[in-house]
Amino acid sequence: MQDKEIMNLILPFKDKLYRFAYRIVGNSFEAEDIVQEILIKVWKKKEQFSQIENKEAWCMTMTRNLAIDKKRAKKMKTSSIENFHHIKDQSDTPAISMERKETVNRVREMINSLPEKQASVIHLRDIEGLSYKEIGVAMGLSLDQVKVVLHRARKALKLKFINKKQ
Amino acid sequence: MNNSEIRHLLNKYWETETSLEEEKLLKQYFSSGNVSEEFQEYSPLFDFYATELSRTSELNESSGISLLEKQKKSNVIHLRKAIIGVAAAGLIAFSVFWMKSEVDSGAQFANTYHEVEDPEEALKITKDALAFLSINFDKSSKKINKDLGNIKSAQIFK
Repeated sequence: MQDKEIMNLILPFKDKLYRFAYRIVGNSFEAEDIVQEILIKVWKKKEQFSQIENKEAWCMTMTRNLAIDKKRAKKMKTSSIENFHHIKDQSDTPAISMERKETVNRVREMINSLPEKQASVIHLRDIEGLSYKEIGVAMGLSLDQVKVVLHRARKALKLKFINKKQ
Repeated sequence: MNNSEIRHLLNKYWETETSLEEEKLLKQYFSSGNVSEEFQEYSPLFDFYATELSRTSELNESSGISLLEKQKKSNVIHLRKAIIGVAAAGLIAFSVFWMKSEVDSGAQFANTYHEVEDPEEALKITKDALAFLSINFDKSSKKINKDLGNIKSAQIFK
């Protein structure tokens, strides 16, 4: 498999990988590094990769594992995302108002305060729009487990919104 | 969509009963900028989803290919280092083996040593050794005299 062929396989879902990594590590530089590491991993295992049926799910799994490892290694806390204000500003468009940014960051904190599995399932379903089956493959969960985790996550989120209102 | 439809969809959403299509409808509704007061409290959630979806990686075809090229070069350097490492290890192993064999041969020689107690035999061995020394000394002095002669005859300093 040539380098260009590998790139053509990865590029269609590189943004999904980036966003998934970003959700876990909480900053754009680390997330970008993870995408590059995934590319190198794919290149190193190109023969094996060419035989994988669901390449996107495989890459999502690798991204999640790498991001969790990095987060653990650096003891980064996604809940303290406010520490990365200067980094976030680089990736947000100027059109986004300060107020909206703050609201969005509050929601991010809410989601990041969920257990990691729930936060990842919410991300894959509600941001990336993956089917339950695709989430299951990426997370190594059965269809029923995906539904249960998503149900718990949304329930917890709803509760947080209700508590915020009160 | 009217409020009743949105309410129904939202309830289904919280109960994890919505399809991907229905979730798309909800996202469209919340990004329309025309959200009813009743559902305003959930706007930030769908705003967050939309904002996150706008994040993109800077990786592109050319940056990716150049990254892979760098990786190949780094692999070659690692291979070179590995070869040098193996060669150094081999050299050390050979040196150790060679030194050991030298020590062993010295030990073998030491095993052949024995004291001569018969005076006749001792005299014979001594004579042989002196004769050997004398012959070789003679050979060496002849060679030196010859070489000195050559040096004298050579006109080095003109």
